[in-house]
Amino acid sequence: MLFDVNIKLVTIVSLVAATVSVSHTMNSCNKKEIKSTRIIGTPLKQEIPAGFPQPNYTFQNNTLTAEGFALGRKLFYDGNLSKDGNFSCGSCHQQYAAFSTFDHPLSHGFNNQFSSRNAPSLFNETWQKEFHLDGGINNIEVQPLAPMTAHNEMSETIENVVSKIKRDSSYRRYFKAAYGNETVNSQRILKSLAQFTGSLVSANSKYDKVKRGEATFLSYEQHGYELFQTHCATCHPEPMFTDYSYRNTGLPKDTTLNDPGRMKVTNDPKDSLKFKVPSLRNVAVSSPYMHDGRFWFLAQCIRHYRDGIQKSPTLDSSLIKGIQLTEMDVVEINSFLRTLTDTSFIKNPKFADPENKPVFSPDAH
Amino acid sequence: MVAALFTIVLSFFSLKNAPAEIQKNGKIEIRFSHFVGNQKLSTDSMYKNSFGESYTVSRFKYYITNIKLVKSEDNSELEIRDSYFLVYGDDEQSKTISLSVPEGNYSGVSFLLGVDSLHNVSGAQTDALDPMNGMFWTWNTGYVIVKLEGKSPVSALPGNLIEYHLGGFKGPDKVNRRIALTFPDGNRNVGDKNTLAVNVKVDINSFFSGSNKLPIKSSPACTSAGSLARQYAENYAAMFSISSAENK
Repeated sequence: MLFDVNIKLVTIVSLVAATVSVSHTMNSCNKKEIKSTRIIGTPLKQEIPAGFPQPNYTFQNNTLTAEGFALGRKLFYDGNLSKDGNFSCGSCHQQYAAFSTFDHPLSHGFNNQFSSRNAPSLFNETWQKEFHLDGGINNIEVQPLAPMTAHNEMSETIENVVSKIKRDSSYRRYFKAAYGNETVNSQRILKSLAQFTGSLVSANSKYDKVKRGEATFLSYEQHGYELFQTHCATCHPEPMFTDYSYRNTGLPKDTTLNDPGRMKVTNDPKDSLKFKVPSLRNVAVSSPYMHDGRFWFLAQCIRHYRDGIQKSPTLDSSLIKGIQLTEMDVVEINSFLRTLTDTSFIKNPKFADPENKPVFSPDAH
Repeated sequence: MVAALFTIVLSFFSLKNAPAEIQKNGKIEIRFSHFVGNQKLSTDSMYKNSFGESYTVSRFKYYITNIKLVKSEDNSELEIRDSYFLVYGDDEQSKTISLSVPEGNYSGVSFLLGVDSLHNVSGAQTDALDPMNGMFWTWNTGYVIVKLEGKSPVSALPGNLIEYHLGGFKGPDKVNRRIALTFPDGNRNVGDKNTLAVNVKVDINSFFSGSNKLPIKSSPACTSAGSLARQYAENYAAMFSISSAENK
């Protein structure tokens, strides 16, 4: 194996020789750069909605293209990423539930097992600094490896996923279009999945339209918004509706799950029972709620902050006294949260399963 | 100014008569040999550590990355760009690392036993750093940098397993270690016709008993980042030594 080396040149006598070798090195560098940055396919611009901060992941070293996105989308909906072919990413991350699991506190995994936490919804992922409710994953590109290899989720090995995708001839033209040749490897699989999940941008709810002057809140939504800004925005600040921190919100510990939360990845007792603050965008369609899906209804979540806080050493300091809310406040906050549903996002056909056939085809009659 | 111009002209002139100044490359081979004490390691043979505990090794893998050479003339370090290697105990080819380096005199070599923090946070990698190589924690991102597995009758784990998967790249418990080795008896020349073979002995017993005493009986496994992993890292920093560095 040959490697380029950084050459430090010192003597004046070899100035010209130096010029020769520097330009030689530069040539080889340029070649390398051209090789890695040569864009194959149709470049896409990362969508950054007006008013959003700069995203954390900007597709540097993973040029966003229509073809890379299309490959990622096909992979996202492919059951072959799991051991028995039953569980695609999309089976637990359903578009109509804002890419969370509809109606399931815990998701179903391989061999009648359950996931250990409620599947989070997926949108605006490139603004995340870390992934998972405990923040254990530090880059969007490597996130899929966790569910893929978890014994109670997709239960597969990375090696098997790569070899199954290699054997599936329907992928060949996708890899060629995205990367210039048909080579399948884990890096290409992961980077194209990141192109798909990183493109799931949601910023077109009624709330967004109000902010853009295209709609107005009803009076109880407006009251709810004001109450939200007073009582909830510390942890769920606009426009992302999360501050991406980890907090213990005083939920009584489920002793059948015994989930230590963030402490699982940091081993630090100070992180015991802390979970990532989720975004509240699309919250009305992503029931059930909390890290273990213990609440079915939004009102239960809101009332938890009023009545349900259980004290423990790592309880968030902002919740020690609970949040004082009347029943009317609960209703109005609930109404405001429903304005965060982005219907154009959960119905956007470009994010749907590319192989989805209509359930009732006219030919079937 | 005139002097500078003169120097440049002179340089052009000297180049014409001194084409030898153009940078040439030579080759260095770093060859790792695995031992337990003075016995050569072979898969599943029984060995004893310094506590008298018997054990076998079924799998031994580690990352050698960010290799640097020490230049004789000024002790400065020459970094070998993109040097990322995974050494497998049961794969002879992986135990020899060949590097193309500028010809010159060198007094030693150093490498990171581990993967630098940048490559632990940079997303999907390939080649030696491909997560498919089984050296990657999927639920808590980061590379496993040393994997040592086998059996020991003193292990209370199922099947008498011993299993050390050492990783962690952040904070005080990070397990990356830079290993610096000096060539015995001075400098070595590397030229286009002068390959240097550096033979590195790796003594697995140092893993259990270096600066920390870590008998198998008390810790037959270490599979997450933390202070125990750091103690193994302090030990394996002394696992490598140069047995010879010869031109061939």
